[in-house]
Amino acid sequence: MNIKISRVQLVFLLVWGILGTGTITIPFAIARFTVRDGWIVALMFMVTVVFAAGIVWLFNRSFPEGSLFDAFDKAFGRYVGRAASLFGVLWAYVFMCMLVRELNLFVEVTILPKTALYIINFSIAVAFTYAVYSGIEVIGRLAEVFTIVILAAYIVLFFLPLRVADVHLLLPLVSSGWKPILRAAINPDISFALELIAALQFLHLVKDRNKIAKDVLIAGTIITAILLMIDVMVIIVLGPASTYLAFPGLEVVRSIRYGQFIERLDTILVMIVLITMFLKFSLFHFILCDFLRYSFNLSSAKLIAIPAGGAVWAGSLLLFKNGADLQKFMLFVTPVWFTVVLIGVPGTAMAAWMIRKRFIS
Amino acid sequence: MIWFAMLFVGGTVAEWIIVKPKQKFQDWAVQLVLLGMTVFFAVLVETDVWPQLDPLEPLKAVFMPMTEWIYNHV
Repeated sequence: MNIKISRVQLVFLLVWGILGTGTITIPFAIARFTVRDGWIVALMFMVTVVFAAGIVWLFNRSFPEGSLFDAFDKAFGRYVGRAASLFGVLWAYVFMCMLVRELNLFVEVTILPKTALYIINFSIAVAFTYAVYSGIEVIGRLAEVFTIVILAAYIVLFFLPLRVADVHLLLPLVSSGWKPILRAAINPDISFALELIAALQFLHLVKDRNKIAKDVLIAGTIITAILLMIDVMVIIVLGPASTYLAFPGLEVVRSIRYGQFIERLDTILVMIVLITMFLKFSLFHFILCDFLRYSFNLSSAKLIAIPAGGAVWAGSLLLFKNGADLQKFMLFVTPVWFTVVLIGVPGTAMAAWMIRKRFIS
Repeated sequence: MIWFAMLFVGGTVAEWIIVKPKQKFQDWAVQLVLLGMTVFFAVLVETDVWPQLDPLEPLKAVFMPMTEWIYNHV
């Protein structure tokens, strides 16, 4: 395949691939268990980033040529490889449905309370379907262009509330012990951080594949820094109230009030979050279509962008009945499930390849 | 919602007619299955069969006890 994306594009895609929904859901997932020490959870994100980069490095070392799917063919053989990749199809499909449902909950609460959920879902499904139909290089360029605007907006929006912040809310440190911190870390530092392993999908699409593990580390460091910034602001602006909020990050921005004119900037945050969500959806919809292409030996991933977009659109409402159902799934199913798929599948491929090389070839 | 599902069907058919991509048997089959899922899921949601179903039950049954075990033992 001749289409390539640059290292910068890959890093930005990975950053928004995590933070697309992470900006609004990670502070919520942390605040469920700990308030004062939430920033430690954000720092611990880096541990899984190093682990994910290690997996990517090992995988690239085991399979220095070809795509992720060529590696499956080599390790398992053509038919078992395709069967194994069905785990990837199932994972990507349910994950996409989960993401789209997160978006419609967010949009319903923030800007479109009276619009039917399926119309909200349809609008975003059309957008990411078209992005995937246009190809990964278009998604990469979009990530590159939007990143400057998004980063600038994040910095302004999350530093303006400093006027109402109380730094003492960060103290005392680890007052309730490490248990709540570790519990809070399970969802963001496992489910979200392991999504970085999605970089394996780009082994053959990135210009310099030998630096892909380094790119994962760079992306992980940027994500950790942004999460740290957001979580510290959530703690020092909202304090214990963050436990009861569905979108603590949004409430932080709502607290901005300078004079009579600078207020209600949360609308800007909503727009920025929607752009990052669009990038995330495009990335994972591409992954879903590419897994389907490989599993069923299709001519191209582009062919199924529209029908797969439709299946995600309808599935997001069918699979997750309401916000509580979605949050329960996110907190209590995704950590182990993502570990099994995102570490298990490439890990098994590497182990199978080692065994084949040593005993069969 | 069913009308919106038909828009996805219409979009795919429009692609077949306008772009005329070369397609193998598998391409047709997978596209039709995905479009079938779109319409079928839309019908389930539209007809309110939705709340009584939990297609994610097997995933929850396998992974939820393990995740809860981790939450209880950290």
